[in-house]
Amino acid sequence: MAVWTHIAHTAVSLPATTVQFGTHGSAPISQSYDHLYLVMSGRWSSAGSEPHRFSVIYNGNTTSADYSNNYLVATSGTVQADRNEGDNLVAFLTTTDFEDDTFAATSLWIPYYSNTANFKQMVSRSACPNTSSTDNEWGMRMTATLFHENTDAIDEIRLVAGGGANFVANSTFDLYGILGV
Amino acid sequence: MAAIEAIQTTYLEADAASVTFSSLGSYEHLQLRISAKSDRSATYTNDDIKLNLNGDTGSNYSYHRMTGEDSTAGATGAASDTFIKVSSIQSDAGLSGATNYGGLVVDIFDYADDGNKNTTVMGTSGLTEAPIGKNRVTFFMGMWNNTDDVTSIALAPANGDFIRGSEITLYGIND
Repeated sequence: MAVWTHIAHTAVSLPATTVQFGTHGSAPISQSYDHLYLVMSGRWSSAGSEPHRFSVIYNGNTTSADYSNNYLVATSGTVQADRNEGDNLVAFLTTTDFEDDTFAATSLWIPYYSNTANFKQMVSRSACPNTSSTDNEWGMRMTATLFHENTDAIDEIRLVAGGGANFVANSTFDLYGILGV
Repeated sequence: MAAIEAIQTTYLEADAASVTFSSLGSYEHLQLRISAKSDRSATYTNDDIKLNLNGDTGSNYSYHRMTGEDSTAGATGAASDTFIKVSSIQSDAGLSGATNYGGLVVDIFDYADDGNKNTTVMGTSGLTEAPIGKNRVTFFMGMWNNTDDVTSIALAPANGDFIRGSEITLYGIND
């Protein structure tokens, strides 16, 4: 039976450009689980009529060429799919143009994050609701992100709001470790 | 304390118009796992679930969904409605067999955040009705435009009743 363990909770009390779990090498995320699961509720501090995309950085590696993704997205009646090399933008945040007090919901799965034999994959789902059905004023995205050509165990996860802005206060982040299947 | 705990399971021994959870406990997030079917007429191959929070039936909800139906993808939604549309479950169309129920997982984020946020819901579902009818996979989201903490969750088929054998479990996820 799988056992879930809550590893860490971060609630942003002041706007924050970055939220980080673990520090690569010196204070790593425990390697004693099989999988990691991250749940977040986030909003971006800047304006934008469309959902804002934030990025994930593993182990402090900011080399964009080490990331790629493939995603399925809808921001209108047309569902689209695309693939990008050098892209670690994984999920949505609502912006200040969205309905007040509305935060995007995101979940991230990182299966077998501690193995050192394989490249790492992450699967995310993100919902960016709004009191609007106008094209691009809402969004839903499912993304597979590959931390490729790197077999290092993941011991640090950094979420970066990007665009010169922040995660707003009351954004929350919970990291869980899952052991067993 | 376990990180995820089952709060309550409702298994329907008879058809029912709705299911309500009103003892939600104290957690960071909630999750519903649903295996359900409605008695919608044979004209249709599926149904949706209406989700209401705290008994609010005003036009305070928005939702969107993307669907894959057989080989066709699409997205729809509503900016203002009287419920969040949770998609989709099986209907009793006589096409899918008596034991075929739709499966859904619904996450309710930060439901008790002391009034800071509107409540956001996100989930996925899948149902198949082979050899006839439409197979459907859905990714959906919804929002209750109200910052109150969530104290009750009501679920009802959009067209008819839940059929006997439908089962819904509410889980709490701790921080």
